[in-house]
Amino acid sequence: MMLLTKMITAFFLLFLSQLAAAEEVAETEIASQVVQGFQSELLNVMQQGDKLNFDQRFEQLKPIVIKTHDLAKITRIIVSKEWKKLTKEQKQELIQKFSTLSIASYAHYFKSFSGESFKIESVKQLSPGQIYVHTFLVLPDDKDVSMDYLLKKTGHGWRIINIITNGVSDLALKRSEYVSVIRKSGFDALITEISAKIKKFSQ
Amino acid sequence: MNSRLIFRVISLVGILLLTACASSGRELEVNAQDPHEELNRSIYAFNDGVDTYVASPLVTGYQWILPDLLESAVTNFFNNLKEPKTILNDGLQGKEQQAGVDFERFLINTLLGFGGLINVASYADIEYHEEDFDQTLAVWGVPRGEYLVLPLLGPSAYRTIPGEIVDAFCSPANYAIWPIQLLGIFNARSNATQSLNFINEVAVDPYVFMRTSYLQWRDYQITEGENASDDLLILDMEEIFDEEEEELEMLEIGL
Repeated sequence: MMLLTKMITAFFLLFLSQLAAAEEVAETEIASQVVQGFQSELLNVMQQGDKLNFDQRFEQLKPIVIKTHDLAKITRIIVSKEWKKLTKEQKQELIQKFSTLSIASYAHYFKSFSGESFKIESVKQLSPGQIYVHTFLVLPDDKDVSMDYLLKKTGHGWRIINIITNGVSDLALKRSEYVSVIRKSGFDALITEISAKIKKFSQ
Repeated sequence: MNSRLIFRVISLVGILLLTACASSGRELEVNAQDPHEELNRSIYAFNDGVDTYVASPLVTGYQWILPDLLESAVTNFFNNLKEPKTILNDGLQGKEQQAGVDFERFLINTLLGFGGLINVASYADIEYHEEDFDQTLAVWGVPRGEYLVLPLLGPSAYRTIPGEIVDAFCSPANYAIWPIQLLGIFNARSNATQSLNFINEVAVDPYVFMRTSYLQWRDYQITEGENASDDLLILDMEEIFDEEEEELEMLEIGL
């Protein structure tokens, strides 16, 4: 009887671990699909090249960037401890400006196509709430660019919160810059700087 | 003539350092990696000025004179001259296999690529690596030390200085006649144009952008990309998110 109980327990534990492993596979699959969806839209815009102007690229990329990136959370992270000192209106303004800047940067830099492609190298679950997708931007006449994505689980599914290009974390980069500007020159100066960047990208 | 020029540069840097020290009244939160930020920012501003008013116009002329094909031949030539330094540092870091590949690359490009002007090895898919003595010191466990901006040379750290000196001794380009050395400087600055323009376009604080990206990129090179999924994550912010999830949900992107 004892042996039977032990066997049932062992079987149950095995079943549970298999279930957890299967769930992890499913999660990594979903996360890599998020990245894949974003990259294929990026390629799509690049392939249309000269046919689209900045505004058209911006409008085409807007839905996919909003859908795949957690822009509010990214904004929260990049101002670090300064977030708590901001009013609700300032937080709102910063999220809106930063989201516009993010889409505008994609629309500005991904505007032509010369045979580039993306390949997903590996996907790794770092914690129940974080997945790391390791990809390469394959350039036809140059060394591949390592482009990794950190995704975080949100109430709306997996969302990108960081992009690491050749070892340089966009989130860390922006956080050090934005915090530095707020501390030295204030919130309004940061908004002015971001607005100037958006304007420059759109020209 | 050379010693006079060096003396002038040293005097100029000396004046700059004095100015920086005298104007250290501004309040800046000390960054653990960059305790000399005030001084570094002054040197950065000096380098930026030299680049804008001297290097950049000269390089624009260089790019205008040299046809693209010749420009890439010059780049290939100087990249090939970096190979002995890379091979030596491969060996010092215990990367025997990579040293073999790099030696093969050097041999092929030097013999079949007209002294390195044509990158023949790339057609044979022989990967290009770059190793230097700073990376070797890091592999040996020497800590990086604090961040520094060197006059005319740019971002660096304490460990980089002995690294640069050893590398200079191991680079054949440094034993060449001065016009070749000058061409090497033009080529290096010309190749950096795209990155420098990118920084100016995207950075809201170019000094901080340069520092953060330089330190991360060097770590990436030293760890062969291993730092990417460990050090760069913001795992410690998990708790901050949780208590603010609700607030973020309420805020709109507004687009």
